[in-house]
Amino acid sequence: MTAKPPDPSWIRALLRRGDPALGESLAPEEVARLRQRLADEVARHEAPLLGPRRLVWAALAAVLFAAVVLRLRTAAPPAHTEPISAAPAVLAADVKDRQIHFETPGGTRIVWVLSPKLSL
Amino acid sequence: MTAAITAEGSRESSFERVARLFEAHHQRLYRLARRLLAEPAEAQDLVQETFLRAVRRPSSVPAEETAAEAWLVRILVNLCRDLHRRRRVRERPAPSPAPLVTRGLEDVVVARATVEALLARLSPRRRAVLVLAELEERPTAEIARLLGIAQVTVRWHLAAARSAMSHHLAEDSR
Repeated sequence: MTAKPPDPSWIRALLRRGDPALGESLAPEEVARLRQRLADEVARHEAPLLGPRRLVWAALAAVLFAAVVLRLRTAAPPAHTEPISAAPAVLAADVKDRQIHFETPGGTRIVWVLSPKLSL
Repeated sequence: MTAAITAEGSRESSFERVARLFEAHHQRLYRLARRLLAEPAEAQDLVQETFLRAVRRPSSVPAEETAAEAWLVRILVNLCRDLHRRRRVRERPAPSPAPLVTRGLEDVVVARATVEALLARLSPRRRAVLVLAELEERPTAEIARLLGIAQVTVRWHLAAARSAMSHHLAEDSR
């Protein structure tokens, strides 16, 4: 013989009379706290590029890059800093005499010879 | 940033979506949690954790409004089951309900204690089915959709819950 199923109406009546949520709701300050907590969590999940940890790593990488660039610049030999010097023999061979020609009003022609080989 | 299409066809961020779901459902979910758990603080934590799940996995929240509500209810009930499982090992058994013989001003308080004690003896899923059916007056099909179970399972849980309540009351009044 099977047991008679309980009458649902008295169970419903009992549940309604002793409803644990009767007259209960989240207080406004609790709702505000939950909203804030959710907003914080959303910010944490939606803007990972602005996270403090990533900012620190980005700053470190930038400083490291700048240090390497600076180091490379100071270590490279400066361009055109060697004194220009040549052996006198080479200079003498390469540089030719220069002449300046002019004429006086009386018709006399003058020729100046500028020679680098000339020494006094 | 993830985005979803609302019923009106506009695109909204996951923050706007969770905020909208929170505004629409937090009080109802709190009442459900309050019926599933004895402590108000635990019910608040459960509601918070439910919405945090939505924030952490926005893609798992269905875009359709009623499906999103069902998703929230399912998460809440599952969280309650997890809590119940963790607690079952280390905590005392549910207290016996107080006898339902008091009359007068204390009636509501006694009825409440009785109901809380009786509900505490049911498994979380069975409790959820009973609460949704008897207190929220939801039809079987809707409870099945909300909890993601078959309608026949809902009816079975409901019959078992009523029977257990009746049995416990009879046992405790002896």
